[in-house]
Amino acid sequence: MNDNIESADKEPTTTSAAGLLPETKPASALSGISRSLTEDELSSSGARKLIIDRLDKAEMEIIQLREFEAKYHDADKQVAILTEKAAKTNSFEFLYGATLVLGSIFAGLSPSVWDKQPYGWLSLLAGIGLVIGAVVTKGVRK
Amino acid sequence: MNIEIKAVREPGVLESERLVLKILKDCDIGSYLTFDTTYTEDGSVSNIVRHPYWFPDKEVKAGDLVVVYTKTGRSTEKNNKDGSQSHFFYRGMDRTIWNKEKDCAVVLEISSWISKGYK
Repeated sequence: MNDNIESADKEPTTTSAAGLLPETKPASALSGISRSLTEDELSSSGARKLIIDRLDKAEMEIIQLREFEAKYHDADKQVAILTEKAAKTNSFEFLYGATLVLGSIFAGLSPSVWDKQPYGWLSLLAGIGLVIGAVVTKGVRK
Repeated sequence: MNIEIKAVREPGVLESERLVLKILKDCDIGSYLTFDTTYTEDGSVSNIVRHPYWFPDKEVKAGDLVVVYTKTGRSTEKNNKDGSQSHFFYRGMDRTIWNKEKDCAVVLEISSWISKGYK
């Protein structure tokens, strides 16, 4: 018998502690009461009043939860829109930065190719054009 | 009392240290709380409550074993050859608790309880 108990009290090997949540106790004073009622018990006015009271409370909670559900969907939609906007803003910021750098490089290179016209002028104009275009586009977006 | 304290197995070894209880009569193990304490010099049990563990609500049957491991784990159960079941619970401790002499296990039966939240 003792041998049987000794093997029976060893935990199964598949036990995993991953994702553990603390176990809770129901705080309602009525949670321990048996849920199965006889016809006689159900027909008593006290039981009926209690059931109606619980139904009223449940319906109130349903109304409140429906409001929250609608609010949740609104918020969810808003989050999706804002996420999309944020992604677009990031792409634009990257493009703005790249155009500004490229324009500066072209403008900066123009003195070194000034002797080989028309490349000097072209480089300067392209550089200035890119920088002005980037700044104007950013201004328009705001 | 519907429960018998069978043993504290492998005390001092966190991986396998456990308290073994035997169920004598069908009951809800959630109505019991266990902790360890010490014997006083006159042979009585000390009223100092250490490492209390309140069992989650679960129906257990006569002949079943309830095993409380000191370590962390997920509550589970297994079927035994004799048709009974072993129910495993875990205190979630990172060190052993049954490692001193004169330690003793206590199981309390709770008939009712109240609680009140505070801010």
